[in-house]
Amino acid sequence: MSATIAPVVPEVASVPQQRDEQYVGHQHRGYAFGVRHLQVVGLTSLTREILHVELADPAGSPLAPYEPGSHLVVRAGEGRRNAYSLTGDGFNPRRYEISVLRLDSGQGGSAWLHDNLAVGDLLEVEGPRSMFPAAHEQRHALLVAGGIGVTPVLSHVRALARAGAGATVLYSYRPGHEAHLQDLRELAGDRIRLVEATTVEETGAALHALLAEQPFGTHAYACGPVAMLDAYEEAALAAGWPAGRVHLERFVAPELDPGSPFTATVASTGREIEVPSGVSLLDALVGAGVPVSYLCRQGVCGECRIPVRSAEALEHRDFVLTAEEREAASHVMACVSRGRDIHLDL
Amino acid sequence: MSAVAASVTREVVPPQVPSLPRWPEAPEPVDSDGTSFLVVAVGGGPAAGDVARAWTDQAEGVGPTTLVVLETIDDKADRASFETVLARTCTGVRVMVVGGQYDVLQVLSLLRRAGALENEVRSFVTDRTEIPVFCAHCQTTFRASTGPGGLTPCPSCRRTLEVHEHLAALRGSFLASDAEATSL
Repeated sequence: MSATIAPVVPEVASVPQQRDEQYVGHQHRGYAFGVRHLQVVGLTSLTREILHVELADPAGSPLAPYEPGSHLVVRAGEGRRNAYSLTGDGFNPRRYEISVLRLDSGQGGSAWLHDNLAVGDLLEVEGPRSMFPAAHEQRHALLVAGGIGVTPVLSHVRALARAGAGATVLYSYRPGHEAHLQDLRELAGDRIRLVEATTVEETGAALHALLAEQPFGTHAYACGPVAMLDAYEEAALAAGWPAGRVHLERFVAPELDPGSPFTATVASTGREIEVPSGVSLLDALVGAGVPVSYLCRQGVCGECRIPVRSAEALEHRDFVLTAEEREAASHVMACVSRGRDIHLDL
Repeated sequence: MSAVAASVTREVVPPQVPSLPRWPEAPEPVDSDGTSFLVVAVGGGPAAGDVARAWTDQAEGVGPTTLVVLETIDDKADRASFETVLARTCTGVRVMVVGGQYDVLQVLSLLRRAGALENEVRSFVTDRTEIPVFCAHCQTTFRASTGPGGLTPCPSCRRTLEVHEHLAALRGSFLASDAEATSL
């Protein structure tokens, strides 16, 4: 990695010590979720565009365990923080492993990781965070992966295999771009069934067939491109699945229209901020110097949730808030959602 | 007072919040979002049969429907046939249970243990005279003609139990404990 990466800063180094004081007895020194540095200990090109990154504690400690389906926030160049799904089962990990798809059309974070990471570098991370966990009452799992969406699915499959539980896995990929296919094939066996699809038609047919034949008590999980997730939700509805069984994680949100201009008021200062059409509330706030934390900018990760005191109207365009939260009109995801005359509790 | 006793905090018992079943006044209609249906009639007299038939007629207009008629879920053969049918069902099914309160609560418990969500199950009780009681002392679940607040002997440990206003949904039974535990 280039020399621009800062060495471990003192406050990061002090985190394990604080943890020792706070949690006496049963948690190891590596049990940390805050911002800290991990060392790159392995880099593997899975395909031309997918780089597999292995991270470990520089001091050799075990790492904090995580729920399958969790993601790690990674600092990917100056000012960029990207979230990547961890591919392990999360059980007492010694390494965190992520697979990074190079998106040259994106904002440069993935390309930066591809171009700059080298074994031995320190990488700033935060988490893991669990936004795509398994339902505890599930009796079987149907896991659907499209393209690089295989990463959280692989995490779930590994955790289920470790627990000796059953799963049906559908992996839709383009030949030549099949990251982790061999891992899934090796996990397949008596209790874990793998179905592969390499075209849109095959994927659609497999979704309908598999959703119609899962045993009672199954929960379904999908991660992949928007079109595949739409097909998955439609097929689940057609097969009579209640929404509570149909889980998904989006890594790319659909295109949004620019929306109408509106005014947002920062309640603590009374300052009014104009949000023009085509500019997000998040960008308007950050541009005006109001500190708001954010990650995905697509209404997917939940980082930029802002409490709302009142609003003439709220147009929620995120994939984070539940129907009840939208009804309550108490929060807004600043990166995608809009409205009219919003008073923000900031 | 010793130093140890002085440091002991007095336990505060929070007020009891009742947890009781809320049965619908009339059978709810079949959920037509389902793609297959399982109707279970278990005990409950002729009224239960009428409800099961009405549900079955409605459900057959929507999708494949299975009707299971049981005398009581306590009967080994009845229970085995219910579990066999349940194991054959696929996600997308909607389950409707009708019968006496004891059997319906026990069947709902089996469904929850099989991973059922609230909105996949509908239930109706035609006879509320009996409830399942869970003895907190010997951990036996038994059928009793009483209700919350009532007294009943435990058939296993012979204690006189007071039934509390607490239905454990997963167990499908009311919690009961020794009614005489506080008397010397």
